[in-house]
Amino acid sequence: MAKRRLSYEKKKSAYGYIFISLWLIGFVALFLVPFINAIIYSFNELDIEPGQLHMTYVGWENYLRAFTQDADFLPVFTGTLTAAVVQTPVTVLFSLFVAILLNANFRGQGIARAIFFLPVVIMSGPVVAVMNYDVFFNTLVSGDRASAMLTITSTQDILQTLGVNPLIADYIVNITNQLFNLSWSSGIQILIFIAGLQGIPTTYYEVAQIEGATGWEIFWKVTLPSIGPMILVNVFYTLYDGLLTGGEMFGKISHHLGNLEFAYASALSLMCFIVWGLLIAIVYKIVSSWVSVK
Amino acid sequence: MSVFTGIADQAKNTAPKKAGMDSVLFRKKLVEKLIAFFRIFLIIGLSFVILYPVLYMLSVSFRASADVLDPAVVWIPRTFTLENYKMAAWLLDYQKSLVTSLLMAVLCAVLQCFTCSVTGYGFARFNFKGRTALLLGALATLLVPIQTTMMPLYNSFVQFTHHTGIPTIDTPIPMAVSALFGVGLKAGLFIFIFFQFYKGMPMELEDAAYIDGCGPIKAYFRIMIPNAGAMFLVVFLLSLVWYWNDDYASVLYYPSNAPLSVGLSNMANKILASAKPDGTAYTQADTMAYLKTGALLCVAPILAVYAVLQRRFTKSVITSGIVG
Repeated sequence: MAKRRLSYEKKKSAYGYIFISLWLIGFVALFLVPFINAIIYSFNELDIEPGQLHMTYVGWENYLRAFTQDADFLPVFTGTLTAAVVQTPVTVLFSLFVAILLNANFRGQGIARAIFFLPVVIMSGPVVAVMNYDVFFNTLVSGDRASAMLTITSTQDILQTLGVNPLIADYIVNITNQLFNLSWSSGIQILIFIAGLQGIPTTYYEVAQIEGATGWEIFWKVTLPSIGPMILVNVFYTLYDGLLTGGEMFGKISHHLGNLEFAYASALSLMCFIVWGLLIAIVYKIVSSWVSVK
Repeated sequence: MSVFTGIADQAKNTAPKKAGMDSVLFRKKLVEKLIAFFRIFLIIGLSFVILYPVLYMLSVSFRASADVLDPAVVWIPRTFTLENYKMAAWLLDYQKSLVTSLLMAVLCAVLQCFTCSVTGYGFARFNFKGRTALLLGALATLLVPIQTTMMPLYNSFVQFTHHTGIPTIDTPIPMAVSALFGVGLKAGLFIFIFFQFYKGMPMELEDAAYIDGCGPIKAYFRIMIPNAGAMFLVVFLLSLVWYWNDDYASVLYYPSNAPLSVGLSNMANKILASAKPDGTAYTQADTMAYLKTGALLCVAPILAVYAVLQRRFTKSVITSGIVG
């Protein structure tokens, strides 16, 4: 009996390998091999001629270059890091707020959801660049009333004519400007939160109501603990998105690649990989100790 | 407005007459109505913020050059024109780049869907040596900046063409190969999504199939895939969108046969560097109008897909529980 069971287990594990085989081939051939190549590149100086590569070993020189010669590196690197770290809680809170708004029953719920998920569809890529270009463009042209709501100068003007303290006006303007970026960058997060909110059994709420809990208490004691895993996923995703796809560092690495400085670009992206991987791991640990993950 | 007058009337009629329980109920009702009002107010406001740039692009795309920067023209252009569409399509080489984009995005999304689902299933249901380490490896592929592996990979595709003569650059092959082998755009994320999803499915489904004499592979294709329709839709749409909008990998692999996203990101430079076909220079208004129209042309196909699948997509996301 024991022997048969063993063979069954073995058979199952063999099937496991069969199922992941496609990915495993890709992981080794299309990820690990180039990844190791990139590590090798980063310790060498590359000479590129059509069809072949000449490498000369230079040790840590490419890494040192980032700190000693490249005046751009540290500001861009820390800038990307802080932007992502600051943006993450704001985005997660905003998307939780919107998800709760959209989760309630009201007329036109379907349309509202379709609108809020729209950024998911056109979120990334050059389209957003064109849209951002517009917003700045309008500010420069100024006086374009169509965009008055979203431009820096006009909102400030309105607030100042209303007699609001300039400091407070600045703060409000910052928030309204953020609102645009926020609502355009939190589509996926809203989606994940709505999925989470829908997954909470209604019986929990019924019990809480019978026990006489207020809406406020229900939110803290029922809703929030139940969507712990979604908070974790969203923190992970937002951080990842800010660091890797939205960050300035991405542009910088691309820029060096465009100049055919492969070795230096490899060194940069490896440093990013290590630091960002560590950062995400640490944040993940901290957040997962806050939220209860089943 | 009517909400408030209604409440005020109600308050006049009921509040002074009945005390106690009624006023508590009334206050509760008032709060509920205020919250509902506030919610609608917020949703409409935020919807406007989201829709604004899209509507604005739409408005500008129909404007004649004189109207583009005219502050007196708010939404409705004074003179309707399709000139912007003609020019933007010409600048983007629309027909050619649309075909390139469609071929690449659809092919890659389908392959990515398939491989990520199979891999996610393998990780979710079978115990094998090194499973945890490999799963972490799948997630680590997400954390490596795409550029790290892109250059060496690009080199190997060039070498491959050099040795075999099979063209790879300027065809969908490099990106399709990465998608097929589960290392496409954000593939780690999709593997993880499928992993979570299959882990949440009841084991009894397959056990029943096994008892009926099904092997794991047959059980997967006959039982699990039909049950994972919602998840497939979500992953397919997200992959489609991300491939469609990608202008990083595609700019490398399509140096002369640019897809729409690459065409759009090059459009500003193209405008700056050249003159119109009739020899005149681009004005500031032209640049703005063409860029916006180009962006619209670029997202139009994907918006059409979203419009068709939207209802089912939102429902799938919500009911299938994208993250388990």
